Amino acid sequence: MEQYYGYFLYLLSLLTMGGIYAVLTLGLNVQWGFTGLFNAGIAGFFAVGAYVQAILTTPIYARHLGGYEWPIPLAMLAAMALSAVVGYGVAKICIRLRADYLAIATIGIAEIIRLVFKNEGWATNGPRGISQIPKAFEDLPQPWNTLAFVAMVLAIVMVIYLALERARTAPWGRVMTAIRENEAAAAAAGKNVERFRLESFVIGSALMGLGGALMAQYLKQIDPQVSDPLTATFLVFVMLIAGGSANNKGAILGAMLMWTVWSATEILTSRLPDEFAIRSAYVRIFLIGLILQFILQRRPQGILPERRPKPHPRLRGDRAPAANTGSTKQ
Amino acid sequence: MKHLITAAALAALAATPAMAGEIRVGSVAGVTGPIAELVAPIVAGRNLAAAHINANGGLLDGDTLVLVLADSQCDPKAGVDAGNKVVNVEQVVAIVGASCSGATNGMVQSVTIPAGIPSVSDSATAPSITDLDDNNLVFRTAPSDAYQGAALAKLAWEAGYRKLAVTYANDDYNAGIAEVFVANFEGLGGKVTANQVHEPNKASYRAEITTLSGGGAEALALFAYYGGSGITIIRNALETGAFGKFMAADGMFDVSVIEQIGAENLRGNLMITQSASDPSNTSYQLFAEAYKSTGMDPGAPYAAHGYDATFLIALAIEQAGAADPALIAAALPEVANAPGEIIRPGEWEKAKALIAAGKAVNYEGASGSVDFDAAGDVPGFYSVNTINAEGKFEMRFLR
Amino acid sequence: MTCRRRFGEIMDATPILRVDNLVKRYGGLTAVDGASFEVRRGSITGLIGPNGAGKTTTFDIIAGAQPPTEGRITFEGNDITGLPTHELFHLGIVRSFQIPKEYGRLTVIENLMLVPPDQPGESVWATWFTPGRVRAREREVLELADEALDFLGLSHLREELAGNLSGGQKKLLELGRGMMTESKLVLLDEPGAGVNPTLMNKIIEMIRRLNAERGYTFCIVEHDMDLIARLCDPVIVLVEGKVLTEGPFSEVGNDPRVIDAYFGGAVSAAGPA
Repeated sequence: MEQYYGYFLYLLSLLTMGGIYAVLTLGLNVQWGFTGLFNAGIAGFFAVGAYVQAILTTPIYARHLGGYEWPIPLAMLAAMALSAVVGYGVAKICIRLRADYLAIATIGIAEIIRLVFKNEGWATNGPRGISQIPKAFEDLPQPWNTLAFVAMVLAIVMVIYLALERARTAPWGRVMTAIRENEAAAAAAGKNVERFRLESFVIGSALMGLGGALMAQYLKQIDPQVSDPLTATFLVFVMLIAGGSANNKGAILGAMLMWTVWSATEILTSRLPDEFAIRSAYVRIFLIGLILQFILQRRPQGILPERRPKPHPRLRGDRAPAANTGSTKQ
Repeated sequence: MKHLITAAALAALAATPAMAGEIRVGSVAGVTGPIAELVAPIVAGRNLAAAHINANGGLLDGDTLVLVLADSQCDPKAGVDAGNKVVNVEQVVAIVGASCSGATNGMVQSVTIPAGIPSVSDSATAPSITDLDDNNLVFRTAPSDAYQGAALAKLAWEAGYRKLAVTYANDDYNAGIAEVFVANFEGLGGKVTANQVHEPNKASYRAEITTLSGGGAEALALFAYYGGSGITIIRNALETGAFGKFMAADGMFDVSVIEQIGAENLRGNLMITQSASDPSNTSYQLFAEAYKSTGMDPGAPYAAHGYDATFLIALAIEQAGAADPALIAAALPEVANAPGEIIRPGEWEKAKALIAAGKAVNYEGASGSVDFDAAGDVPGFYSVNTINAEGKFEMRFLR
Repeated sequence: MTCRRRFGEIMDATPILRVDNLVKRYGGLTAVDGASFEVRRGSITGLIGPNGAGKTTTFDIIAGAQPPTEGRITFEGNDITGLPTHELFHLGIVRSFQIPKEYGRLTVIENLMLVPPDQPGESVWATWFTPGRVRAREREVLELADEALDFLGLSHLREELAGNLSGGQKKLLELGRGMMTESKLVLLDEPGAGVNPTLMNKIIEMIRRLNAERGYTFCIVEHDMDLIARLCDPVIVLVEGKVLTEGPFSEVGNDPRVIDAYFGGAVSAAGPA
């Protein structure tokens, strides 16, 4: 039975990490899925959130800024807020850029953020990072602490999902999609494209910051390596694209599925003889690419493609159907 | 959530429960990631220890020691994930690793400490690991960076210094060493006349040196990187005549110090400590020979530490008499520290026989004596480097 | 002047749009070279000219897609020079595109529902915290959109993704967007381009009806002389970035200078459009 209890705990860890990644993918979905903003600097906003959470909640420690000991929920809000502020600053400068240039600019910004955290050792303990980050519910006994944390993460994912789904199906989402589909036409329909893009970028950045804040708690340790572009930017894109860009359910599904693949494949590869086991660690990265290829070949729009909101019912009784107008003669 | 159930089923199929006659130990390492090249020889060191044990009677009643490899990618995210897998799916009783300090910190805090699984890291050197509230579950065979400060303080005291001025560059590494140095030197009875932080990469440090020289110190203890501020500080100190003698840690260990200051100015006046394995140590030689025969270079950083960590866990399992994490954790310091008959790398049969006979053992590892202190750390082993008649560094191993 | 009105209503003689001495240079090239003209309220004004006459550039500048190098544009007496497209929309200036720019992955009805201004649901906060207000306005917008679809004869494609429409249907949808707001001036960029004769008739019909029933003023850039001849009065002829002449098509079409510009020497002087 111990074995099955172990599997259960591992499942919880998959749900936790999958859930935290789902927060990131939902954030990216607002930017890329809804509005078409190619933010290739997810890692940067994620890192801002993670470090804000770490610095605000850790007890005083000689090697980094800290000792504020904020309550965890408050620090999470601050992490979101600061990521949003950074997102606003970045967007103010870059939002007018075309998709590919925006990608280049955001890659650069994420790298700058990472290097700042790496080099401003007085605040962040440099490459050594920040340890002993308080985690919600950690004082409960096992396995209740793990369960409570998973429940919190999944509840947050659910709230974000509901909020974003409502926004997506409302006129707000309609405008975002219109901007993604055709910027010039959206402007011609009186939409302030720049302002909407900015709003989308800021909301996405705030969610990425929240993802970082959750990750910092879960790991209890963050260092610049946490915002490595491979696992903090590339993987998030893979999750969203595989799950279904512009589909909030798809974003969550993609995060859960891809994280499971990323993590659980090692259980198989560690069965191999050592020499192969070391090599197969790289094969896992290859495998993620392969799965993405497969999904994109078979389902170019991801596992759950974008769906428009349910048909709007006609409010007035049916009129004379179709093709009535051409007949009007003077 | 269907996929998750599928995934769980997959995991359940893949991970058969530990077979009878098999004891699993996690081998968590940064197999991919930024230090991948460094990690391969460390993993080889761990595997060598497991091979030695399994070839000489195995654990307990002839059980096989199985090392389950998991990739920590040198990243806390992956470290936590790897820890979760080896602890919950593979049901290991102890863990060697993880490699990097960050991954180790994440793994132990998030997974192994709550789960009560002991871990022995072979290459995490961050001082922050010492400070963890770890229920005596976290050990390491790699010395904390801070130990160098203690080694240097002892060296200074033995060299006859009683009054020193201290300055350190404002970075984690050097600040950490300086902090420990000051505490240890004062503990020995020495007096620190001035202790000042400085910002690296300035053009001149004359102002700082004037302040430092006020208290009548006999020498300057300098914790800095040679290129950042170290060389400039020595030059300024010699120019102003404020200090003539210097002590430094490994951030200053570089020939450019001799080239730029001049051997004649430094001969007899500069001591630099540096982390090192003792090449004359029997344990090290035993390890090196065996390791070389597998086609690897025993000089590879932390390979000896990897061997020692694995061997220690095996000894602790044997000492505990059962594959029980709590007992293993309690047994780890017993087998690593004196008193007890000395066990060296490869001497598994001897150790097994002694433990079976109820005698105490004390493992003297390839990387050093591996005696755990209360925090689960080992003292580091260091060499001191001075400048010889040819104007080159001359190394002496510190015992 | 030459203003006549097909439907016999009394026409407001003041210009709704005034373009003064408009100049646009791209490096060394002068695309528009001091064009000045007026669009009368309630008219269907055609803007024609040979290739390179600068009509598309003029159109883009009026629509706010790019700023002029020199000159002034006034709309209902207010200077609107250089205002961005979305601000012009709120003044009542709506444009279409030569190549239809539908929102491919929005449904047909959503394409129209997008357009109306003052939608509280465009604030993300409102969608979360005042959903009642959002829904109320959404009903109004939906009604408006269905009306427009009925008018266009596209009701049967209501829930279709706009990207799946035929070229002609997309053209109609472009036109429909103009019906979703209190348009005063509708700028149409080659509404007849690439359209079959049946659809052409339908489009002309729609424009006439919108002009007559809703009082929209139209300014149309067009190559198709048939459409211009049937619809526009007056017609403004641009040649080499300047206004050559203007008047009813019957007069303008017989003007030897215009014929010369289209078929004679001016063709060789074609610059960027």
